[in-house]
Amino acid sequence: MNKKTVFSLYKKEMLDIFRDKKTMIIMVLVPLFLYPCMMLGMMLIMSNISKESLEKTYQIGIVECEETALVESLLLDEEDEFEYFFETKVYESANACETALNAKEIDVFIDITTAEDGRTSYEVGYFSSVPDSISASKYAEEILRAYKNELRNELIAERFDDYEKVLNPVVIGNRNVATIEESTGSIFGYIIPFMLITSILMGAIYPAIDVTAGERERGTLETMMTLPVKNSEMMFSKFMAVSTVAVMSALLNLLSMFLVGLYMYDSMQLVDTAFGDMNLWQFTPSVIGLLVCMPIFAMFASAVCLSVCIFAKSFKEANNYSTPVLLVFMFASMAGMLPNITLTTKTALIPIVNVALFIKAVFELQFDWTNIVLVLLSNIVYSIAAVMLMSKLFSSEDVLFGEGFRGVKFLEKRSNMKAGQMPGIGDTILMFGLLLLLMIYLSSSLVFRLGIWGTGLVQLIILAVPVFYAWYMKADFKKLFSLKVPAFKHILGGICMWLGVWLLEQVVIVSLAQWFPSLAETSDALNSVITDAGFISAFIVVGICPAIAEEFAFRGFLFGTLKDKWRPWLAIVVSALLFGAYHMNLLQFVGGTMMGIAIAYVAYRSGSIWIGAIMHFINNGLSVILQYNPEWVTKIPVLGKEVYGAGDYAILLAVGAVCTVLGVLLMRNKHIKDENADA
Amino acid sequence: MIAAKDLCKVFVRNIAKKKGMKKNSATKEEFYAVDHVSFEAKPGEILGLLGPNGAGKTTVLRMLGNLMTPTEGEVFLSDTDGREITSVIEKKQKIGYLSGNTKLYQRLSTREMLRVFGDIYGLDKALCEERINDIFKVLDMESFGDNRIEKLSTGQTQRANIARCLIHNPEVYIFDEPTLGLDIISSEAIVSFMKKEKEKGKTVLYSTHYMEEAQYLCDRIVMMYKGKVIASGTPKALMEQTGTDNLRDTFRSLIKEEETDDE
Repeated sequence: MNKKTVFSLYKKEMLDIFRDKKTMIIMVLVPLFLYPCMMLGMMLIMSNISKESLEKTYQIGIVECEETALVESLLLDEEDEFEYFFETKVYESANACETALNAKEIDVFIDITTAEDGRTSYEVGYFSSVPDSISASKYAEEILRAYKNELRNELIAERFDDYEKVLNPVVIGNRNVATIEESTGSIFGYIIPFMLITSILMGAIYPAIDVTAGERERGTLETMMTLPVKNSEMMFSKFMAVSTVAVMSALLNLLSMFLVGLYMYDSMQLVDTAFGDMNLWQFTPSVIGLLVCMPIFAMFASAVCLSVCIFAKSFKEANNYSTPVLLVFMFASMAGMLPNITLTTKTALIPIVNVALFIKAVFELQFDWTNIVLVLLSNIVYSIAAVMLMSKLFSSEDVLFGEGFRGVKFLEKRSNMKAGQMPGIGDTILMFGLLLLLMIYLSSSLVFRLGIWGTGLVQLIILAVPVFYAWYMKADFKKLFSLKVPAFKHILGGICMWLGVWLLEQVVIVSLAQWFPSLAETSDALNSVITDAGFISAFIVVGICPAIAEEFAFRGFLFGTLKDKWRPWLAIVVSALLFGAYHMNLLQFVGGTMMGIAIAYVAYRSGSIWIGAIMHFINNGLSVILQYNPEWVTKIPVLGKEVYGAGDYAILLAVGAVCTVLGVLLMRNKHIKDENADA
Repeated sequence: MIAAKDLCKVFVRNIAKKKGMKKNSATKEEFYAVDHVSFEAKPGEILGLLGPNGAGKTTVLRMLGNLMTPTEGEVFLSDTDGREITSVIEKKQKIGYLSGNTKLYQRLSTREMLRVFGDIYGLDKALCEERINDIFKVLDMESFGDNRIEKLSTGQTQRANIARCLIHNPEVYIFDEPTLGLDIISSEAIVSFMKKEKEKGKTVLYSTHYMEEAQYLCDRIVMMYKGKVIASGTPKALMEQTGTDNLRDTFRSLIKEEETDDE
C-alpha cells in the first residue's frame, strides 16, 4: 500500500464529503441544534406544566351538610403547608355535584356521608380523563389526609402520654452511601452510551453511503478505477475519510450534549437541589476515557458501515442495508441499561456492547485497565480486519459491471435455488453470526436448565443449522462438507498432527497463563457441570458431539465455502480464526485457532471432514478423561510437571514440532492439485 | 517531445471475456462477449474499433484499460526494450482512459481534480501545476477550470474529462466513443486532439459509430461483430476488399456477409 496514494485519495474524499450539503446538515446542524432544542423544549414544557398545575385555581364542589363549613375552611386555609388554590361551591346533593362535574363547572367535588359506625366519610369525586380533575382530586385528597392524620394524632395523644412511641414503635430510615457523583455517574452511564453510539453511527452512515454507493451511482468509481490505485488503497482512504467524519460528528454531538448538560446543571444549581454541591471535576477521567474510546469506536462504526454499503448498487439499496445495522447498534448500545451486564474480559470482546459497557464503567468511576485495553484493542482489530477483508472481497469489476454482490444465497426462495451450488462469502458471515448467537444466548441458558444435556442439545443445533442451511440452498453436500472417505495414511497423518499441535498448544497456553494469570480462571460452573454429569454422559456430550457438530459447521460449511472462494492458506487461517473466536475465551481462542489451522489443513489435504472429527474427538475426549482422572496428568513425563523449566519447554516444543512436521509429510497428497482443478 | 521509438506498443493476445446472461433469478447462461480477439497497436497510430452495438467494443476497451480482467488471454504493453508490462498498476500509469461512463467528481473543480489525480499518478507539485496550466491552455479551459464541475456544460465537462486523461502524459490513449453526443465544435476539438497526440507518436485506440470520422482519422481499423474480429486493415484496404468507396458501405457489406455466413 502506497501511503502517498492513500493520503491523496483521502484528501479527495474529504473535499468531496465536505462539499456535500446533506452531509454537513446531518453532521453539524443535527447535533448542534437538535439536541439543545429537544432537551430545552422538553424542560420548558415540563416546568410549564407543573407550574401551571400548581398555580391554577381549581373549582371544587362540596355537598351541603354539617361538615361543609369545616371542609371549606380546610381547603381555603392559606396558612397551611399546601400551596394549592381552590374556589368552593356548595351543592345540595352528590348528584348535583356529579352533574356540575360533567358540565365542567367544577374540577372535582367532595361527597360527605356518615358511615354505619358513625364516622364521617369524605369521598373525592373526579373525572379520570381530565388532567385538571386528576390533579385537583390529588390535591384535595392530600389536604383531607392531612386533616385525618391531625385528628388521629390528637386522639392518640389523648389516650397515651408517649403517643409518638405508639405511632412509631421503631424508626426506619435509609441512607444512600453512594456519593452524589457516583449516583449521577451511573445515570450518565445509562444514557450516554445509547446517545453516543447512535450518533456516531448516524455520523458514519451517510458519508459511508456517499463514498461507496454514491460514487458508483455518480459514475466516478469507473474513473477511479482508471487510476493506478489498489483496492486496499482505495478502501483504506475511504475508511479513513468516513472515520474522520464520524469522529467529528461524535465530537460535535458530545460538545452539544455537554453544553446542554452544563445549562441544566446551572439551572439545577439555582433550584438548590442536592446536585448543587456535585463536584463535576471528578468526571475528568471519565471524559478522557470517553474521548479516547470515541474515535476508536467511530473507526469500528465506519468499517461496519463501509462493509455494508460497499456492495450496494445504488443509494437506495445502501439505505436499505443500513437500517438493520442501525437497529443492531441501537439494541446493542442498550446493554449499558441492563443491570446485570458488566464489563468483563468476555463482554469486552463483544463489539458495540463492549463500548456501551466501557462508557458505563468509566462514568461509574470504575477503571479496570485489562478490560479497557481489551475494549480499545478489540475495536481496532475488528475495524482493521473488516477493512482488509473488504479490500479482499471487493472486486471493482463485479461492482461496476457485474450483477453486484450476491454473496448471501440464503435470501432466495428455495424453488429458485440452483442445485449443487456453493454458499457465498455472505453466507459464511451469516452462518458464523448464527453460531455465535447460539453460543451467546442459547448455550448458557440451556446448560443452566438441562445441565450437561443442554450442552448436547446446543451441539445438536450447531449441527442442524449448517445442514439445514445447505439443504435449503440445495448445496452439493459431498463437496461442501468434504464427505470423502479418508485414506488410512491421512488418518495417521491427522493423528500425528493433532499430537504435535496439541503439545505446541499446551506450551503456548501455559506460557500465556503465566504472563496473564487472570486469563487462566476457568469457569468453575462449567467444570462442575461436566464433573457432576458422570463420566459416560460427559464423554458423549463433550467428547463425541462437538467432534461431529463443530466439524460440520467449521471445517464443513465455513471452511468448505472459503476454500471454494479464496486461496487455500487464507481459507485455512480465516476459518481457524473464526473457530477460535467462537470459543469466546482468550486462552481457548489461541488454542482453538491453532487446532483450527491444523484441522483445516488436514481437511484441505485429505478432502475429508472425518479425519478432523477424529482429531477433534481425541482432543476433547482426552480432556474429559483427564478431568475425571486428574492424577493421570502427573504421570505423563515432562508434560505432567507442575512447573516447566526451560528444558521442558524445549522438549515439548521439539516433540510438538517433529510430530507436526511428520503429520504434514504424511498429509502430502499428489492428487490435490487435480482435485481442486476439477472443483 | 518524446520520440516515437520510445513509446509503448499495445498487444492484445487472444483475449476473451465470458459474461453471464441472466435468464431468471436462478439460471444463468454464459456466453463470450469477446470471443478470442487479437490485435496490436503501434506508437504513432490511431486504431479504430468499429462494430454494431453489442459487438464487444466497449468490453475490449475496458480490458485494455484494465477495468476488467480477461477471462482468457492477456493484454500487455511492451516498451522499446521489448519488456512486457503486465502489472496492472504500471499499465494504468501509461494509459489514459476515457469513456461515456467515466464521470467526474461534480463537487470539485477541474483544477482540484487534476491536482488529486496528478498526486496519485506520482507527479510532483510543481510539475503538476505546470501540466495543469499547459492543459488548460491547449484545451482552452482557462475560463472555467476553477468552476465546480457540476456547473459546466456538456462540452466543457468532456474537455475536463480529457484533461483528466492527459494529466499523467500517458503513452496510450483509450477512448470509448469520445465524440458521442457532442456538438460539432466540441467533437472537432477532440478529433484534432487525437490527431495531435498521434503526431507526437502516441498510440490511440478508439471506438466510434461515426464512419466519416473513422475514415478520416484512423490509420487502421478493427471491425468487430458478435465478439469476434471480422476484418482489420487500413480504411483503404477494407474499402478495396469489399469494393465500396466509403467506410459506411464497407461496414454494411461486412456485416451482411457475416450474417449470411451465420445462417
